[in-house]
Amino acid sequence: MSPVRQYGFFIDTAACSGCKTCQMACKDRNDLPPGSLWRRVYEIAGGGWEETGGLWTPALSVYNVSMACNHCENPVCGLSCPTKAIWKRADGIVLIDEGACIGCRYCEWACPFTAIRFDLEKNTVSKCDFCVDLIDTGGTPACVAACPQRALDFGDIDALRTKYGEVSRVVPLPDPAETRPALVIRPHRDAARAEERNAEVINWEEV
Amino acid sequence: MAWREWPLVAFTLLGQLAVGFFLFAALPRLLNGAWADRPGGPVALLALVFAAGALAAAVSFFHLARPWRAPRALANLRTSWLSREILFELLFLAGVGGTALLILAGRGNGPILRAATYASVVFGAAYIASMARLYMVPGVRAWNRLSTPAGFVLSTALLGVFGAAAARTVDAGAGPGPAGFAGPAAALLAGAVVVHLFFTPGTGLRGYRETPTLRPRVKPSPCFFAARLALLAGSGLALLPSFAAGTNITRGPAVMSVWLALGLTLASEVIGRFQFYAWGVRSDRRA
Repeated sequence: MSPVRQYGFFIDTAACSGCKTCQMACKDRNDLPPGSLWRRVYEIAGGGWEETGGLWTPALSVYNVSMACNHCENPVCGLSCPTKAIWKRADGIVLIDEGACIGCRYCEWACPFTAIRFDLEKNTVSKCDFCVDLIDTGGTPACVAACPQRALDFGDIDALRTKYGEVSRVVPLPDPAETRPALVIRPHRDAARAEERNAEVINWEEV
Repeated sequence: MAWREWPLVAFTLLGQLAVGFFLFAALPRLLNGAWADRPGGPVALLALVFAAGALAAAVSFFHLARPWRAPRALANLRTSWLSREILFELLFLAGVGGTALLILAGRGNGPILRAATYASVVFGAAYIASMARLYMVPGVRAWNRLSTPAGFVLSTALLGVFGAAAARTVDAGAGPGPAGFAGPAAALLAGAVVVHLFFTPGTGLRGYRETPTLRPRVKPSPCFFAARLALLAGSGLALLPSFAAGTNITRGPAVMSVWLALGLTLASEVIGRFQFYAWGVRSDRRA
């Protein structure tokens, strides 16, 4: 089996129910402190009523997006880090060396996906590590394994793109051009009109 | 307002004050060479520059969660603008300190001193440029605009010009103040007002549309926007006696005018900088 060039995630936002099992599985496996989330489930909503031929109908865009670190092919977090505490493995997984981190939190600002979070207990930043210890032994990331809807998948990003397509952005995710996230998304049908309906994150307190 | 980012507010403003004061106060004195019989003048100015820069460096440690590891911050000069900023900051301080030591060693206005002076100019400019550039990151759209470097350069120039004028009011032995100080100062203030009025994200007249983001929304404070505008305008009004004084700002109402304008400008910069950092709202708002 050829080595993986770049590990990535697949999110089926059409299947995601927003149950946050993935979020809890990650939190449980990594023993994250309160307030620290490596995987977050964003609830996106927007729209209102639409009149068509004298009839008013709901015109809503409502869906969920489960997001962790996208282990970008051009990780601006690592490029920005002054101590080289953030580095990329040969298989594309981006990791943080907590021993080198000085806690300047510059990477938190650099990452357009807000994947990097500050750990108050360790006084360093932290983020999704793709469950590298499981990956290295042929296992499955905790979030992917836990999803009851089978809305998450992982693997070589090229294989994921072949299997699920090339879409890597839905509202309100940022433009993937700069960081090239290793991410494939199956958009919810509501996502097509999300921008015109001003859909945005409605559960900021949870993420 | 991002009160928790106070170390970075202090660091950036003190750093810009140090570079601006060097460019507008110390540099003209060093270049004209007329201080040969009074070397204490430029040395004192260089000492003030060094003190401001060193204080900036010291304050910056407060924003690190692990300040004892700070020397590691020079490890990624290849790609990190933050590493480069720290390097240029240290080189600028070394240049300024070296220049002062050369003067004290009686080196006069020779080629070595001139080389140290010009090197300080280059490193100071690079320090401000990298300070502005490091904030132009994809994660914070409000920073990733030309108004960021424009604002930083204006701050450096404003603090430098007013600082230089203020220093001249206390150095009576150096003679009258710089010719036409009030005019350039007013022009810089006008530039700052334009940038603030039109290009401040969220409250500027030019408008600002946040692009799709996973960062929590920021609600810019119109009160602080107005306060900064008022302080800048107040600083401009405070300059009026300096216009009347012409070239001599070392006596009479012009002295208070200069110091009042400096104080109001500094206050406006502090408010503006806190508003700037408010855009970098942390995803984990507890931390």
